[in-house]
Amino acid sequence: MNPKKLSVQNITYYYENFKALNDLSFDLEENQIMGLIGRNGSGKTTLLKVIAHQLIQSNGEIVIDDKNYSQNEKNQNKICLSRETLGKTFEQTEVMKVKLIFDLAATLFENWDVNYAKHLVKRFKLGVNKKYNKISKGMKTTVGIILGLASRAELTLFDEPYVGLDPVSREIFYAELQKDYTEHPRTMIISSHLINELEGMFERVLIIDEGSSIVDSPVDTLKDRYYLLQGRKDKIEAYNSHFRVMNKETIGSLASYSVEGPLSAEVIRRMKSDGIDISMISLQKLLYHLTNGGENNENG
Amino acid sequence: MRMDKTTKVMGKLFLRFMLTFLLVYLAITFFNTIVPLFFIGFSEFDVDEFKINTTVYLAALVYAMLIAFAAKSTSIYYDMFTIFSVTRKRIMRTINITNVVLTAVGSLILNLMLLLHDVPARWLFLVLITLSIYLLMNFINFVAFLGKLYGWYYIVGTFVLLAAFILLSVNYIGGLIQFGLYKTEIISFFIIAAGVFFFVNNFILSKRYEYKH
Repeated sequence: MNPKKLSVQNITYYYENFKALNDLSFDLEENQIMGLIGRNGSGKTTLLKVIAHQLIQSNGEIVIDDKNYSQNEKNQNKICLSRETLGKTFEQTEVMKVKLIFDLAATLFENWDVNYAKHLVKRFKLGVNKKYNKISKGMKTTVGIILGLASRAELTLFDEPYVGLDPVSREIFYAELQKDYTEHPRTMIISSHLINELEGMFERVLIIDEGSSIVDSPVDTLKDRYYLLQGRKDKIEAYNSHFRVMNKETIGSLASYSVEGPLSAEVIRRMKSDGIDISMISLQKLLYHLTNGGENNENG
Repeated sequence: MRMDKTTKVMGKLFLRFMLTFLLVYLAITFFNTIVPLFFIGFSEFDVDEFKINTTVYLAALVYAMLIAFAAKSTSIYYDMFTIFSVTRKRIMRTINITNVVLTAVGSLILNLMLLLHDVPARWLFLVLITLSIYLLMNFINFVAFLGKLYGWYYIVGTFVLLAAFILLSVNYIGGLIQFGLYKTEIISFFIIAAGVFFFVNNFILSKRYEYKH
């Protein structure tokens, strides 16, 4: 087990009277990639901003490398929060070339890799001599991605790093992310809605809903906890006592159940011999079921 | 003391910004003092008038430049630094350092220009110019914070107030300074007002809120 890199302890954050984060806690090991998943307004961006100290929490503590983040100056060079915007005022009023933004980043980020930044600029076909306020939304996202990757920050946070990106650019991003992570392992949190595209990269998953954590687990553990059962309805129902049904869909006598286990090896063996197909439930489906996307949990 | 990276970046941004103002200053001075000589003849060149004009333009430019930069540092550059994952605490520290450095530089330039003129009680001008610049910078930081929090129409309203304040200061406070009256009160006002804005900016506005604009 790697040493702990980040510890988020009982974080609560209010936007005026609205509680955006509710006593949220989790730990993240060094050199792990964590997927931060949740519906719109669930608190993902707020959480990332609080971790990067761009918002100051109402309660709780952020600890990086066993040191309180806000009180430790050295910690503050360790984080890069990559977003699709450099801020409303900046975008609306400042006339700054993309090149200058990268030059300033080179001064500010300790581990900034100039050559890698140049390589990424070429890969994404980004016009560095263009004014930032004149480039498209996708290009602004690309600027954020380049800042996130080339900063080589010990803790890199990507907030929905695909907004406005075309499919080709998204694939370039995934490829570069994997390649760079392999060569320069570091701790990352990626918040995303495009779960199917990214779930292969996640080693750990945090699902949040209404500001609270509902799943915080390594991806491998999820495989042993959530299952998709498909087969004859009566056969699946016979094992009802072994799992909690999150969702079921039936077509005639056939059924598809999303269930929470764990299921023992013996039960799995017996189910298979009864013709029940057992597979891992996708993260997207899991999010859907756990956040009441299915609501009545029964169709068919 | 080793210069913090954020302060270094702020310095770079200021130098770029200052260059623009310097060009504007040179252009204004050239058009208002040299160009007319082409029409009326260079024999009409008056050194004293030239000194007064350049000092007045420079004073106006220095104040305008510092006001504009104070507004930018707390709004646009504040946004930019957050994207570079610089914490609010460090951003505020950089803004505070910038305010002090620019106040010193601005005051130095203006007081050096005043050496060209016969001014009584130079120490009073030195103190008042320094304090007024520092107060203005903290006040503009405050206004920019209001803009970030509540919307930029606040800026317009507050600048109207600022214009009224400048008129008042030119008409009354300027007169009082000229006659050497209420020196202690004026200096105390500048110090206390700057202190209040500094406190509000650093301990209230930069800490508790989310910026929506």
